Amino acid sequence: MRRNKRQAHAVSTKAGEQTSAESWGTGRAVARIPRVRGGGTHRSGQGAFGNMCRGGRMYAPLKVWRKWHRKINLKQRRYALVSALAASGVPSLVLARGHSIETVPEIPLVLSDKVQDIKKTKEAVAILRKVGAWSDILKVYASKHTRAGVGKMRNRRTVMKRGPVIIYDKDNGVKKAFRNIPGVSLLSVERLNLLRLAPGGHVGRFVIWTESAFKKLDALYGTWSKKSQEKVDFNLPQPIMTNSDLGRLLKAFEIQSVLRAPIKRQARRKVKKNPLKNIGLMSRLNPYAAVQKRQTLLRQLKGRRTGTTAESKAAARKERTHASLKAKRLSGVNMVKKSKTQTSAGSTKTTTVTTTTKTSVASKKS
Amino acid sequence: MVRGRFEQASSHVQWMVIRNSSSFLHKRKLGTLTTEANNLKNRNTFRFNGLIHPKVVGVQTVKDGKGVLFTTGNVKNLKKPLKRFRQVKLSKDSRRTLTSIRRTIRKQRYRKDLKMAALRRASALLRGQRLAAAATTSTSATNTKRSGKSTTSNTGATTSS
Repeated sequence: MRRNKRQAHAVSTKAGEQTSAESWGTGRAVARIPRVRGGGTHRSGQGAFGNMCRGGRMYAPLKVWRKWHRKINLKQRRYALVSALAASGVPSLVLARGHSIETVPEIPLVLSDKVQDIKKTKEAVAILRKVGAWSDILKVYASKHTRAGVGKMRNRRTVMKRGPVIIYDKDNGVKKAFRNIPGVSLLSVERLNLLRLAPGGHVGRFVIWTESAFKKLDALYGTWSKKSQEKVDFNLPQPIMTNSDLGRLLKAFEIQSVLRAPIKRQARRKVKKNPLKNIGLMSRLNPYAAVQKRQTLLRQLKGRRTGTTAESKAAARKERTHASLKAKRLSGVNMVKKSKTQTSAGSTKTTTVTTTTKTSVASKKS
Repeated sequence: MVRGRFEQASSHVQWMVIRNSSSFLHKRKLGTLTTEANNLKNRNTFRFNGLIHPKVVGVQTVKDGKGVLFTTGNVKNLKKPLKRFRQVKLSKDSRRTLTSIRRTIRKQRYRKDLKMAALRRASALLRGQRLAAAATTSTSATNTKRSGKSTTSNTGATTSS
């Protein structure tokens, strides 16, 4: 649809063709493109006519008769418009589009008809502030930046976000009052523009209605029980599902009663483990195997030096207290709680143990 | 055929609109994330989305202060953004904050599937606050550990206000 406001442009038909150049042919130790005739000037002997030549015609010169506009079926256009209007009434879609409507009292936002009579931009700003729409305009202000690309030297220098649309019924000054506020668009209900209701193709623009504009919607687009009065033979599109709440549908009795029970525990392929390598599996198959294994191990270790003496064993035993194990387990938890549990645990043990646990706590805190 | 009014904007329909194009969507190499306010894991999934569902749970940091802001969605005021959220400031110690969140969700049966996510988020945010406080008091550069969750929650906090 955006293509429809394009203006035709083209390259001059004569561009690059206003020479009588001819190729020099072979045997002259130059490339075979047509070259300009004559002499006495820079231009003589230069290549001409090709898109690769300097001063030549471009590849596929642009023609005015390019198809600039696109015809879209009326029904499709109306369907799109109506969908965009519907989306503007869903707060999550408006938020997702990027408008800040957290301070707006209600969506859809409908103001009294007095809005249509205001003449000063100052009043317009005051209204937007009061209604909670100003934060969206502040977003527009924040988004002003220079356009990327050549457009900046073609009188399209700044770009900014789109703010709210004001949709009115009768313009008694609204348009002029609101039009200088950045980001704001004005639309008459009779002539709604999809390009303004779903900018960039994204539905859910923030819409501010006036009362009479909102009331006119029924007559313009119809309700499902009544056809549109203003448009010939148009009614709102029928939804594909009358009840689109999938969650409730799936939990409904009519569906649940026909389903089989859910398979909560899937029987999956079991990996076969080798009992000769896996001691656990071996013991399950042959309980005596564990005993056998232990005996062989002890026999092998008999008389060998392993490094653990009776004293070192006793010392390790002593270190494995409840408190030290608990401290290891609780490391990283809420600091406040840990000190409490430590003191309570420590109080029940001997004094030597409490000091060791307290130092371990201190080291973790740092 | 005459049909009555259809309530068409169910959360599933909205999800189909939002799931691939939303101002909060961030598609990057490290995965798809969303920055909407009440998304507990910032994941772009139907379950965790903060915009679509009538019942919604959100946890954010309190700006310039201690504690956590626990948000629940008011189902009655779905279309009234001003009244949509009930926010509670939980600024006592973490044990009380977490039990408060846990109990609200459990006793009201309010989005039980989000309970663990809410607790984890709150716990991570509180941890971040604790570490930040420890960093300022001890003034040692090595202690400034910033968890990724707290930074994303701060951006969430600024957009919601």
